[in-house]
Amino acid sequence: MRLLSRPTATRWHTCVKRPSAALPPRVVVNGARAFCTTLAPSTTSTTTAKASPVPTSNNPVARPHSDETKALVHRLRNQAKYYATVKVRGKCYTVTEGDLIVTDRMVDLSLGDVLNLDAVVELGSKDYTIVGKPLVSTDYFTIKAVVTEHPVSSTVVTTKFKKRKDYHKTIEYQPRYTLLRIAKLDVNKLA
Amino acid sequence: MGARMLRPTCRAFEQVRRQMKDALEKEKRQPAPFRNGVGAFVYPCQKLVFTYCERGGSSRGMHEYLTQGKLEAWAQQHPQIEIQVEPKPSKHPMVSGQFLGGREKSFCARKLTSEEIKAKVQDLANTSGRPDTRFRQPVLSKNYSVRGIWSPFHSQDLFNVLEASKKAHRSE
Repeated sequence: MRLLSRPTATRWHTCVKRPSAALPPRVVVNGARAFCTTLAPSTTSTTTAKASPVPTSNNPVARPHSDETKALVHRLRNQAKYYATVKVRGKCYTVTEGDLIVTDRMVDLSLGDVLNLDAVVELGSKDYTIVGKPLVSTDYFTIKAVVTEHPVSSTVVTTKFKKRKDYHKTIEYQPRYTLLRIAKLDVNKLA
Repeated sequence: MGARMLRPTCRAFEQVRRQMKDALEKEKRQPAPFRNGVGAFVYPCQKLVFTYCERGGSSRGMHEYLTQGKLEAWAQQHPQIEIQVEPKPSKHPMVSGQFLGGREKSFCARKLTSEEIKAKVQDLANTSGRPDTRFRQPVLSKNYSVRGIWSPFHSQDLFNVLEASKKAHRSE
């Protein structure tokens, strides 16, 4: 995750490990994923793009995408709605545009900060899916999140009790959250 | 809080909201849902009202907070929030906030130290005015499912339940 609006980002924003050598996308026609993993043999067309050099933010001298990659990403781009499984601080959230992510409190963010979510495990639509190995290349999408709220939970009460040991404990706590609004989720047009 | 009269600013806001709703209903249109952060972000906390008593001992921390320049410093960092300080004799000190959508949220600052008040004010300004809730889902969404619900009769391979059960039997 990279912070856009405030350049003084702290350590955890850059803690997501980028793959050293970016891998080609695997575009799977809808339905194939479910059957491959369960009972029926996959007879649906599973097209795999050839290994093409994918430019990343770590790799400034990036070679252009192959025509096949462009065509496959373009197919996804032409769909109406997208979803993405993003990683925020090691946890995965499957989101669409306009959703709210409930995360643990991030102290170093203030309201209105814009985050660029670049750790994406899966990106897809109704008919197509790009599965990252382990992450999808950042060239294919733009996902922005806005910090909207730092709410506090209602009090959670847990009790501990042991029979015949005169042991009672009541623990009260209020978890603290940070809510992120997915302001933008779009598939890029590859040049 | 429920029986309290709406403040004048809230009443004006309600009137405008009602007019807009009526105008949209005339054209048989629904207003777009407000999702803060999509398109533009509006800071949810609009106003904070601090009340205190000059004589009461429970207001000691609040006196310190108001007079030692702590509120002033905080207000300068948050120019988007309107701040009002008013005495309320013979009452415990209170901090109440007004938020987007006419919501209100407040806390009692009785016997709190100035540092505790400072932390609580920051917490209040960081919320959107909704009551404290425990979130049990990781994602709050109002959109329809992108991929839809899987159906055995509308997929590329027809899911044959009988064959699958036979296979399972054979393997046993």
